[in-house]
Amino acid sequence: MSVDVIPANEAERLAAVRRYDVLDTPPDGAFERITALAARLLDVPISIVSIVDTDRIWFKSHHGLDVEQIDREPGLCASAILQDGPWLVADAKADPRTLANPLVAGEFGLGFYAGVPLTTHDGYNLGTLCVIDLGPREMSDAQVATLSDLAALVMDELELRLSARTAVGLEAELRRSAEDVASTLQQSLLPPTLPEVKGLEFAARYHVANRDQVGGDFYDVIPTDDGCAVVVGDACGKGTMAAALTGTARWTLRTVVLHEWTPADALSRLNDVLVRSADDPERYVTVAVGAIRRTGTTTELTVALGGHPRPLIVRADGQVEAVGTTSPIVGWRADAEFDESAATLDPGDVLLMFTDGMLEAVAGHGETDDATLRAILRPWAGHTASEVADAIDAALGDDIRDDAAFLVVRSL
Amino acid sequence: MIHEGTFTVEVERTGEILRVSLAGELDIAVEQELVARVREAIAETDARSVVLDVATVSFIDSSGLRALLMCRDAAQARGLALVLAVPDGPVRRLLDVAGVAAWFDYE
Repeated sequence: MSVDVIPANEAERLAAVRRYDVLDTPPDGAFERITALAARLLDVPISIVSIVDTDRIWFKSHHGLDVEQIDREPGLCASAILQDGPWLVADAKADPRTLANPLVAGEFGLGFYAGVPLTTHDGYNLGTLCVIDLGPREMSDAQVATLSDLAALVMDELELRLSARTAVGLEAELRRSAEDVASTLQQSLLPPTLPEVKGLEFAARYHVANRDQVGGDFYDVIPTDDGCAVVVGDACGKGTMAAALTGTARWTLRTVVLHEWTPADALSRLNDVLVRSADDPERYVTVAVGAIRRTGTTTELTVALGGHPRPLIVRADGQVEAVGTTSPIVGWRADAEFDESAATLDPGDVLLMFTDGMLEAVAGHGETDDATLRAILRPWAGHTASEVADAIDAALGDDIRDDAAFLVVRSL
Repeated sequence: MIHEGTFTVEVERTGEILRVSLAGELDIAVEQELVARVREAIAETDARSVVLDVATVSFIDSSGLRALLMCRDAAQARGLALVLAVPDGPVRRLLDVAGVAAWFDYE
């Protein structure tokens, strides 16, 4: 390859060629149509969209010529890209600029060449749109203008593809990074694994409606001296605000159960914390807190519900009953009071605590009645916590509008 | 699947009563709009009471409930009585589940 054909900005030009990512791509209709059109309009047998690579000229489209690439020799496309405008060779075999080119001097015997550089918006010549004939010929100004217009069309197409590719890439990258943040934050708001508690078996599931958004639902199992605390809640809102609220709720409850506590106490304390925190006064959580205490072989459950759907107990014999007394949402009013109620869990009984997102996903949009859920649970009486959780998962359906969380506790 | 909800707020003055009628899906997408509209309506009115009519609200979530609570607090801050017009339906059920039914007065 002769140094005569290397432009001053060659490194940047080659970077531009790489950026458009067109080299060695398969043939494609848009460019085929343009070369066919160029050949027909200008009445020549051959038309080519060429891209000038480091040491070769590669043809994105080659109408009338069964060759995919040639060496980067001076005279034709390699010289055309050094120009700001059309490169016209009326009689190649007599023209000192081209007569040594192998396509001209060799067996092929090229006689006429007209090429217009494909210039990027930032000024790099990637290659050409050119027309070729075997004999010498002249081109009118109108024909040169036609070729220039068609070259501009080729470039438009290349720019369009580049921006589409860039947009798709950026979008994918943004989505990935949002999903990363959401999933990292989410993991910090849920227990990494459920603890071992004697005489109890757990399963928990969490489904977010949007993977790029942190959900507002949460659950927790916290071992205590005589059993454990079980928590399922829902912070109002979505995204990072809901995540911050979830974190506050979860860690407040974890702190409360370190010492002598009851579920109603826990909700009162959480209510105080949220009402007093000034960072966002207009927020609340709904939460079900249960204290499970083992004495000998009996398992006693005490539960308090702060604006939260009532948990269900699936008895080993197939009876399903709701447990708990509704108290107000937590964090809105300083004077909120919280009731609690008790139940006994016999061996084989299953306690299911859930968010209204889960209830809705099972029962239908806007539904707060638990009849559908009860019907799903009944056949799973006496099964393991994971089996019950799987049965609920199967009923959730593909289209989860809201986040859905639930915790299954089985008394052994 | 994309859920496209429609939500409308209409404000109407009858005598001493300002009636704010909501229709459609009351969720996080419309929460701020609702609260802004109600605050605006309350700010410039000399009505004695506000009726928040949620009879044709077809869906409400936790953000929608927060919006209702904020409307209630905004009315109270202006010394206005706020009453809900709410027949049996999704709003009534959520007020019950959330344990806040007693925080509102009813038409």
